Amino acid sequence: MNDYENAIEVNGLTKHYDGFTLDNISFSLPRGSIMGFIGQNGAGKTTTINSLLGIIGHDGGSIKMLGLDTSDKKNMQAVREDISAVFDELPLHEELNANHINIIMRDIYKGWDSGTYFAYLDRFNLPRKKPTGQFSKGMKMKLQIAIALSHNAKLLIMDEATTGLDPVVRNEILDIFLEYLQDDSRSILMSSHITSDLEKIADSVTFIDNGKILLTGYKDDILFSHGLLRCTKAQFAALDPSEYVSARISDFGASVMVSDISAAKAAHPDIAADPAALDEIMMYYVNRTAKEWS
Amino acid sequence: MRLRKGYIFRLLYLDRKSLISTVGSFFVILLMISLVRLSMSCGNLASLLKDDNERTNVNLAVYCLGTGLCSVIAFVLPLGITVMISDIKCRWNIFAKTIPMTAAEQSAHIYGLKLMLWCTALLLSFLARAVLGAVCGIGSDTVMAQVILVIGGINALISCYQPTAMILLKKAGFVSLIDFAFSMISAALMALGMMNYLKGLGLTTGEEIEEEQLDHILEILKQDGLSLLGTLAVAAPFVTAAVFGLFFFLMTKALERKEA
Repeated sequence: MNDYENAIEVNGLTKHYDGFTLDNISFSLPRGSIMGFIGQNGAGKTTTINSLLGIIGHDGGSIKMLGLDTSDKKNMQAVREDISAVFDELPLHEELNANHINIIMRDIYKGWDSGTYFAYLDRFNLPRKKPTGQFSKGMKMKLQIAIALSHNAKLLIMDEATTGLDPVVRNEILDIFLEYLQDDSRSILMSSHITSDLEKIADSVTFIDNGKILLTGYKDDILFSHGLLRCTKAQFAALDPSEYVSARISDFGASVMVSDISAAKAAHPDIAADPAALDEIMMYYVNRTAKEWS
Repeated sequence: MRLRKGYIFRLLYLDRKSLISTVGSFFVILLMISLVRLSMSCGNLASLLKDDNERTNVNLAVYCLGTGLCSVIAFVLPLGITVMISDIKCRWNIFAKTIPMTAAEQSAHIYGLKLMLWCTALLLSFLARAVLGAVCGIGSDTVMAQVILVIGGINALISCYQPTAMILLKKAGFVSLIDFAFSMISAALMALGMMNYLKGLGLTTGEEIEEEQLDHILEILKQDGLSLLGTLAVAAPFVTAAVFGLFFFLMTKALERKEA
């Protein structure tokens, strides 16, 4: 694999479906970092991830992964050796057990390391001979992660992998990801609804809504630049709609999301301002067309 | 292309119940037919055969029907589509697009395994022919060898078409419906052809014919039947090879098209 700066580079990616369009999206995941890919259901996260993985084709734009243009079949084949996909459900037959999976995968991936795989199984307390059909959801996800991390993949792409897991298991998995990232040649793209997880571990965030990228960049920059103004009704009435993303109206006043909190503070020193969390930013952006909502 | 033993193990392991039951049924049926025939020679059923003529007829019937039945059972081996169905159910077919195996490699492994099972079925069929031939005292016979080759050819067509159809249609129900429609149309065409052929020989329904004429017609039927069987048996290996090649190509294209 050649030298590269970004593990993923998406430029102008477009995909049309009946009733949905992934509209000219662009973002990049710097090598050695973890990116949270957030958005509500149907926003286009899975379509984007499926395009990246080559599960579906795309109508326009380009995708570069690990420095290689994946529109070239040979490149895609080479990239597949170095990427791991983790889905929301275990894509393996329920009759198979962990030992069978080792037999299957060691012939599929050149870099498969049975020692690493069994070490992860032991660490996750996963039985080797029990059919995966008898595993709980958390065990299945741990097994999928063990598989994904056992062939020395340089890029981990996860689609809603932590959804439906309890906080203890989620934390355990997030710790594993941080360990995996100790090697700075490795990167993670992680789509999730659970923004608190991403706030914990993500270096950068891309926010997609209705097939369009609304925000992409370093998480700290996004959190630092955005903020919530706590306005009274009179203060809100004095605001120009171009100054904010959207406003949540209540009986007592309005909470207003601004994308440049420093400028807003300078312009309105009398209005109280709070930092915004990722889920709040997401919620206010989703309601940006309504502008005012309750 | 690298041989992925693990990929083949996956296919064999997931289809193991069907494979074991097919092989088990084959040997049980072969053993039962052999024992019944042996019992007719020197066991409790010996009194059933009164003269040499009867013995010859029974020998022929047991040999032909037994070999045919065992052959049909053996050729169930390469037919299994249960793995393809469960691949779709558990979303392996989606995961498979993320692994470093090309579409050609994946279909080569599927059709390679099918070919291996087809060859096993062929060997088992010839084993049944040899065993029943020995039990019934029939020496080297070419007719049943030709029948086995024809059964193998038909089986190759069905078993090779199914995986590609599953990838294209994604529903086992559709594939079974096409199987059923194809069988019905083939049976109707064969019946129509047979009726026309018999008409050409002067056999029509509702008319009585002389015994001599009937013997003559039966002799023509036998000769034509053997000649047709011979032609089909010669064509069968070529059809089998062509069918395996064609559907391997079609599955590769179908998988590549899905990726595009």
